[in-house]
Amino acid sequence: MEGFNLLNKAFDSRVRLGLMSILSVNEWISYKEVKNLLDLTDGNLASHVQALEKINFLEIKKQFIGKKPLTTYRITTIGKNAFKDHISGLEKLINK
Amino acid sequence: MKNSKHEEDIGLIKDLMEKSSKFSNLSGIAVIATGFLAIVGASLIYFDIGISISEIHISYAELINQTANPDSLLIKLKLLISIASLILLSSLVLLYVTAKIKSGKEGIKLFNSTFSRTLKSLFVPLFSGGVFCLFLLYHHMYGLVAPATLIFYGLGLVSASKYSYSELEFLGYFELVLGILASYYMGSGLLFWIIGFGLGHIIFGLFIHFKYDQK
Repeated sequence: MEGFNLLNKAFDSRVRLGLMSILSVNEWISYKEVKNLLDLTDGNLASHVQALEKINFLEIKKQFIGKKPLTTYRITTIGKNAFKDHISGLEKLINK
Repeated sequence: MKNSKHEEDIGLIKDLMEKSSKFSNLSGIAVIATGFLAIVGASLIYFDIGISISEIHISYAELINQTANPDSLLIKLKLLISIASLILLSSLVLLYVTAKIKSGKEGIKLFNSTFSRTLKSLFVPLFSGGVFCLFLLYHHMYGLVAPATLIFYGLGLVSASKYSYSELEFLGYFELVLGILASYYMGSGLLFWIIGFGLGHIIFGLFIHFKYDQK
């Protein structure tokens, strides 16, 4: 079925799909901001972020602002393309 | 069919893209406060409540018709500009500080791309309008200043609404209509100003407060 081939298994989870949606329209964005937007609890997000980092869909930057640690994420070009394909896959399936 | 799952997915994507890319850290209470500031300031000027530095009392009508003597007009004008600048400045500071606090609570950096896009789309019309108003003053067209501020502010809001609260668009149209009406009823410019900057902000602030802040 046309459209299915464009879907990406990495975005099966709602958390990952949401995470990529946020990253796709933002530059570097903080852990806390993402967590609030997705309405998640601590720890829940981390595993999904790591999974997406492993396949190079996003990059992680850890730094310190004063004494506070700040973790930010950014989507990679690979991630952006994969996400675009996934969306057009979804659209094709809906418009059948 | 799996179709409904796909539709939900698309819905989620759209929703999160919008939520994460729009500036939404205004404090409703602060917006309400700016409305009251505007009302207080404009009333001081309109009713000329004994704060004239010079003890000369000139009504708004006398000012825009320029029927008083030139020296006292100038003094009155300086007072008017000082009050207006003071309101603008304190409103901006108030909005900035409360937005900073609010974004801090949500763990969001205030100065992100959304915020700067909002500011840019708001201030391009606003700044040109401000300069335009200075020239209106320069050419002694006092009566058109209040309508012009309303119109340019309205334009700024309409363009800023793309990157911020979508309801800002309605506030923008409201200010635009008031500004256009005020250009016709020139002598009542300040009254329209009170409605637009005062009442408009109070209603919008209440709306923000109950729709977004209370969550």
